[in-house]
Amino acid sequence: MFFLVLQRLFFGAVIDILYFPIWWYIGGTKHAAIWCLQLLKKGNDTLAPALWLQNIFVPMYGQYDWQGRIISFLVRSAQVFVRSLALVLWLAVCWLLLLIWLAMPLVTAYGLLKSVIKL
Amino acid sequence: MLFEKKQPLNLLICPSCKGTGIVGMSGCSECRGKSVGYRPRQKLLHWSFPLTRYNLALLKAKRIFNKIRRITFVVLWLNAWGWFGFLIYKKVIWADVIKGPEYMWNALNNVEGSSWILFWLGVIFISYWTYRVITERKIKGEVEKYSYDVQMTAAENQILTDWKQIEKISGRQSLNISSSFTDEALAAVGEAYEMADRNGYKILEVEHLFFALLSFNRIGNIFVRLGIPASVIKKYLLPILENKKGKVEKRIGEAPLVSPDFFQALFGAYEESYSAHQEYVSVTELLVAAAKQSEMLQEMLYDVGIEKNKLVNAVEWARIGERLYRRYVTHSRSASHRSKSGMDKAMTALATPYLNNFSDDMTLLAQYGRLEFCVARDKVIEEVFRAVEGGGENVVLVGEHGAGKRSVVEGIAEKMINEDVPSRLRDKRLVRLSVSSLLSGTTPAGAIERLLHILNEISNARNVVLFIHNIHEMSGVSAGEEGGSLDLSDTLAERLKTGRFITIATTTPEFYAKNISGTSLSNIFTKVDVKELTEDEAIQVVESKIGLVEYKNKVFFAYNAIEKAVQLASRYLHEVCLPGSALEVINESAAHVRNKKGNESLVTAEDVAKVVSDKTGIPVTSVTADESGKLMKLEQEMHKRVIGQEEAVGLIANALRRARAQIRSTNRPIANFLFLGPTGVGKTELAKTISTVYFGGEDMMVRLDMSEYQDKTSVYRLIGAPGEKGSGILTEAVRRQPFSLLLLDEIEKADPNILNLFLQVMDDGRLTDSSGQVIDFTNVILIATSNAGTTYVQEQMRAGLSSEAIKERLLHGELKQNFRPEFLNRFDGIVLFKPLAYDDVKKIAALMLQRITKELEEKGIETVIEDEALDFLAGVGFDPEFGARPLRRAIQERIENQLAEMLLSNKLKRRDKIAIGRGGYIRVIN
Repeated sequence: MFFLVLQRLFFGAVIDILYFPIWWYIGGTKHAAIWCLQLLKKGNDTLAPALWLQNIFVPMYGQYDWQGRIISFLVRSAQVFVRSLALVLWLAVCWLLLLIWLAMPLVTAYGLLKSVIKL
Repeated sequence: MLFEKKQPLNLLICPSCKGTGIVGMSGCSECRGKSVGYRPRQKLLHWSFPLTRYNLALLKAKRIFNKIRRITFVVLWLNAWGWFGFLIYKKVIWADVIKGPEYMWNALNNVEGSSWILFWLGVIFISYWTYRVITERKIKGEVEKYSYDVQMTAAENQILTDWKQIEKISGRQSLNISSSFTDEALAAVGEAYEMADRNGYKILEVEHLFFALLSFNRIGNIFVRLGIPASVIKKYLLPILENKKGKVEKRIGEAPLVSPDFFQALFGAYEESYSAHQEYVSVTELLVAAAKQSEMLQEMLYDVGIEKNKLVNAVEWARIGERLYRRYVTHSRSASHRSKSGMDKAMTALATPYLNNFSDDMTLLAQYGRLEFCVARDKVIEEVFRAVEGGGENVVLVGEHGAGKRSVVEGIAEKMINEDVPSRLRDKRLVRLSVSSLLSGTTPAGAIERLLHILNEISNARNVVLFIHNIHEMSGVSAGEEGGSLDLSDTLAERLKTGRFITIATTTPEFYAKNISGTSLSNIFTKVDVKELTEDEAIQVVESKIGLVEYKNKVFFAYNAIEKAVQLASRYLHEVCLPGSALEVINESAAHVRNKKGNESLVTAEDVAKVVSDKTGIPVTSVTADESGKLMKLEQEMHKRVIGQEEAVGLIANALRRARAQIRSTNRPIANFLFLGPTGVGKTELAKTISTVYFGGEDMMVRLDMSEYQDKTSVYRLIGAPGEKGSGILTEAVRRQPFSLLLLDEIEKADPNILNLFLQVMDDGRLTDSSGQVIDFTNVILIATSNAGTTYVQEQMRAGLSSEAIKERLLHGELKQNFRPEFLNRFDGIVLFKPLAYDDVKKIAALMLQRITKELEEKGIETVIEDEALDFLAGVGFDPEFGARPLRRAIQERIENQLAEMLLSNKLKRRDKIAIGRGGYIRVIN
C-alpha cells in the first residue's frame, strides 16, 4: 500500500509539472482575467464617471441657482472627462497585467533558451 | 430533551460496491463511482469519494506532499534569485551603473548566461508555486444555494430505487457532495475510517466519526464551552465503541465497510449546511449530523448534560464567530470605498453643518467599525426595507426596552455601507438626531426653531436618512428657564408629511399608543413591530456579543452560563426585554467573576445565577446542602412561631419546597392560599412567619388591608390611576419586590370588582398596571385571609363536626355568599384555621413571654417564667371567640404594666433575676 501511494504521488507530481504550462493558458488565464476584471470594477467604483455623467445637469452641493447650475455643469463636465481618462488608463493597466500573464511563459522560455545558448 | 427523531433520508447505496465506488481495483460499473445517491429538490446528490484504505491514504499523503511541494518551490525560488543577486553583485561595477540607464543595461548584458539561467528558473519556480496555490485554494464545489421556494420535507423528495434511474439525470443536476466538504471535514471522515480500520472494526459507524471529530480544535472548543472537555467525551465514547465491536468479528486484513448510518450522517451534514444557508460542509455540521444519527451518542451526550438545544446553540456559537469574521472582512472592504466627508458619490448632496451639531452619523460610525454587528434581526430589517421600497417615507419601530430597536437600525446602517439596501437608501447617510442636544439650553420655542432649521437642512441635503431614537421624547416637552411646554411632534409631523426624506424612528408600545397613534404622527409613519426575541435567538445574539465582553473583562463564558443568563433574564427580569436583559446579566456576571476569581476565569451558570439572585433577591442558585437541610425542616422552623395549625403549616412548607426545587409551573404565583378562620388564631402570624423564613424578613411582605378597598374606584389605588405611571400600590410594590409574600388581609371586605383583578394574578401570574406595564407575579406567594363564615364554623365545631366536613359545607354554602366559585377555585389550598384550644393559648403565652424575656435580657435582667403564670395568662386571655388576641392585652395589662412600673421606680437593676408566678405577679429572686 505504502509503495502504491508513493508511486501514485510520484506520477501525479510528474504529470502535474507537465500540466502546469497548459493550465497557465486555460485555468490560469481565466483566473487572471477574472482578477483583472475585478480590478477594473474597483477602478470604476472609485472613479465612477458614469455616475457623474448621469448627474451632469444636477447642481453640485445643492446649489440650485443658475450660477450654481452653470458652474456645476462645467465642473461636472471636466470631472467626467478626467475620470473617464483615468479609467481608460486604468483599463490599460488591467490589460497590461493580463498581457504580462499571457506573455510570461513565452518570455521565460525565450530568456532561458537565450541564456543556455549564451553558455 | 433528547434530540428529535430524525427522519432517514432516502439514500440509495450501490449494492455492488457497497458505497465505496470501487470494485476490486477499478471503479464500480453499476454506480459509476457515485456510490451513494440521494434525490432532493430535483437534484441528484451523490458521494463520489471512495471510502477505501487506498484512497484515504492517498488523500492524506497528498495533503502532506502538497505542503512539502509548496515549501520546496518557495525555497527553490528564493535560492535561485538569491544566487542570481549575489552573482550580479559580484560582477557589476556599481560605480558605472549609477551613471545612467544605458550603463545599467550594459552591465546587465555583461552578466553571464549561467546567472540568467538562475533568474529564469526562479521565475518558473515562483510561477509553479502560484499555480499550486491557486489550484489548491480553488473551491471544488459548493453547497447548492438555498431556495426559499423549494421547501420539501425528506419524505416528499423523490425516491431512488435503482442506479438505472440515475443515468437519465443530466450532469448539471447532479452534485458530488464530498466536493463541498472542507478539507478538515474530509480529514475527519478519513480519520474515522482509519481509526475503525486500525482497531479492527468491521463496520465504520457514526460513532467513529464522532470520535474522530473530537480531535479537531474547533470541535474541542465547542465542548470546552459546553463545560466538558473532549477528552472526557472520548472516555465515555470508548465503551460504546467497544460494545459495537463485540457484535461482529472482523477477519484479519479485511477493510471496514461503511454503515448506512454513516452515509446518513454525511448527507445529513450536507442538508444541515443547506438549511443553514452555508456554502460548505464543515466539521461542525458533521458533529451535529452524527449526533442526530446515533441514539447511543444522544444518550451519552444526555448523560453528560448536553441536550439537543445546547449542542445546536454551541455549534451556532462557533459558526457565529466565523460568520462575524467574514462579515467584518467584506464590511471593511466596502467601507473603504465610501466617502468619509458625508458627501454622496455624485456630489449632489449639501453639507449639513447645523444638523451635524445635533446628530451622529451612523453610517460613518459603521464605516469606522464603531457599531456592533446586528444578529438575528434580518426579518425586521427586511420589513423596514419593504416599507421603504413600497414608497413609505417614514417608518417607526415599535418595541419594548431592550428588544433591539437600536440594533435593527445599526444593522440598517451596516447594510447601507455594504450597499445591500433598496435603491432609495443607497449612497445615503443615516443620521441619528440627538433629542437631548436639540433640547438642551433652549426654550421649547427655541427647540422648534432648531428642529425646523435641521429639517430644512436635511431636505436640502438630499442624502440624509433621519433616525430619531425614542421619538416620544419629542412630545410634551417643557424646557428652559422661561418654562412653557410645546409639542415638537406637531412640527415634525408637518415636515415629515412632505416626504422629502426618509425617517426611521423608534418608540415603545406604550408611547406609541399614547403619543403616536391617534396623533398627527400616526398617519405618516408605517409601523414595524420589533418583537422580543425567543430564548434561542437571544442566546445567539448573546453569543455574537460575548467576544467583546470576554475581551473587556478577561474572562471566558461557558455555554451554560449564557443559557442560564437568558433563561433567568426572561424569567425574572421583566423591566427590559430579551436580549437586553440577558446582556445586562452577562456584563454583570463577567465583572463579578473577574473581581472574585481573577483574570482568565471561567464564568459558569452558577456565577450567573448568583448575580441574578443578588439583583432580584430571588433564590435561583442551586440549593446548597445547608439550605436543603433547612428546607426539609421547614415545618419545625415555622412551628417555632406558629402554634398548632398543622395543616396550614404543612401546606405552606410543601409549596415552598416545590418552589425552591423549581418544580412548579412558572406562569403563575408560587402558591395561592386562602386562610379561613376566626380572628386571633394565627393567620397573619403564619404569613409573617413565611415571610421571615423563606423571603428573608417581615419587610418582604406586601400587606394590603382589603377593608380599605371597599368600592369600585379603589381599583385605581391598586393598579394606578390612568396616565400616572407608578402610582399603583399593589403593582408598584410587586414591581419593586417581585420575590415577596402578598398578604391580602380580610379579603371578604373588598369590592367584588377588586377580587376580579386577582383572578388574573392567581391564574396567569401577571397584572397590567394603568400605564400598560405588565407586572410579574410569578414569584410571589399570595395569601388571602378571611373570617367569612366564622360564626358558622364555630357553631359547627361546637356541634362536633370534623374540620373536613365543615370546610366542605363552607365551600358549598357560606363562602359562596362572599366569593364567586371561580375565585375560590383558583386557590391551591383553602385552609381552615382551627379555633385555639386552651393548651394552644398556653403555648402562645409562653412564646409571647419569651419576647419579654428577651427584652429584659438586653437590660441585664434574667427572667424565670413559672407554669402557674402561663396557666393564669391562658385563663385570662383565652376567649374562644377572639382567639389569642385577648392574650396580648392580658400580657400587656398584667405583666408589662407591672414591669414598666418596677423599672421606672428602680426596683429592678442589672443582674437582677425575676420570676413571673401565680396571678402574673413578678417578684425579684436574687
